[in-house]
Amino acid sequence: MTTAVANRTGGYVERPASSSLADVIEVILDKGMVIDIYIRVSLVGIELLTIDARIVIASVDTYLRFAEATNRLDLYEHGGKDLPELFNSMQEGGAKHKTKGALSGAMDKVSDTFSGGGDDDDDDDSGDRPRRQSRSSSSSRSSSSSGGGQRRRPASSGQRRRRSREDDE
Amino acid sequence: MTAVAEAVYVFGIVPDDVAESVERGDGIDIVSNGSVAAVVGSVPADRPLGADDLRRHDRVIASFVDSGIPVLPMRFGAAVADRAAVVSDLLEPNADAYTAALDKLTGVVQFTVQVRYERTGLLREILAGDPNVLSARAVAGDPAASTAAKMRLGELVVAAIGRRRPADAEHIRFTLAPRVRALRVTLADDPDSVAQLACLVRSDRTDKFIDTLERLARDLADTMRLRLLGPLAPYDFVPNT
Repeated sequence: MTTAVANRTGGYVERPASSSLADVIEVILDKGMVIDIYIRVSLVGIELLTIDARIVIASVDTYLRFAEATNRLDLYEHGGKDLPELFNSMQEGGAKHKTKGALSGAMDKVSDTFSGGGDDDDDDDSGDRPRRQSRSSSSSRSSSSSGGGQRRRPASSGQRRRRSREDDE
Repeated sequence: MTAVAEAVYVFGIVPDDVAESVERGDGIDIVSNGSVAAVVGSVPADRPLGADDLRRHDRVIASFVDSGIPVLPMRFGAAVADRAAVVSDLLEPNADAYTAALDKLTGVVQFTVQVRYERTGLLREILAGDPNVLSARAVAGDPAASTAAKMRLGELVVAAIGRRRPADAEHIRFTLAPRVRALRVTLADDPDSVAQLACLVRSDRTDKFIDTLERLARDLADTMRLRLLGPLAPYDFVPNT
């Protein structure tokens, strides 16, 4: 994943030449083969990096952002330049705000062609170094998840860290 | 068990017959039981793993993918006490399962497709198709509108996105299905995202897969953005007991 495959330019599909830390976390963390219980108990107490990703924030902020975006939409404008620019700047502003909180990576698996078990996608709040927490610690779910005055409540809809910051090495 | 300073980190499983060709630099070594082999390194046992360790895990696994060597990635964080335990606890009990999985995953790679909504186009469609959103917008658009009215609009919009997400993801799955050997869809929970699709693709058919994806991305460009990561090891398609 870290190695680049030739990028296609000018296409519609974005294909990053190298993966950001956010990509690595989203794509491989909590994926792969699990070793069985017997070996896990001989683990010598290694603590695992865990990302408390399943905290879903259905914030007031989310609704207000979408309301603002919807309000600003010009129904009769098609393909104009001003609107997308408006939205881009708004989204960037929102991203800065959002990276303060730990945002949800909770995903619902809907299709599982192969057998492979209950993998969930984990996510990190920002591009900063993920928090190090013991997997055995049950307190890992909620710590340092809410910052910047965002309100959090467990609900069905959430927002996730936007990849506004890349952490390429 | 007494604590030791170092443990043996297990990156993944490879066929025994490629073990000789594996480059052993960067603290990477191979432990074999004669039928399958584990790619191992050492890891301090007295500190938690972090982002650098995750990066390293990714790099080591990716090096096999790039060399065309089938590899079963372990979930990040797998470690055992010592090299003897790699053979006795990991390889010996699981050799048959690992061999079967390696056979099945030879000649294929994983691509992961991340799909996000393109907000402007998406909101246009939602407004055009939902009279409730349209009327809530009329209320919330008033300069003197209350926060509650704006919240109501935002809530309706986010709900509308949630209602269409499964169909949007299904359309993508359906379009890609003929190009993949297996596919897993994970629906997003974030209003700006659609889904993540893990696709198992034959190595000699990746061009067709990418062409199909490109056409799909063009067709969906008004409302969605597609992002492609890979080729990756088959993280989403390894056996798990």
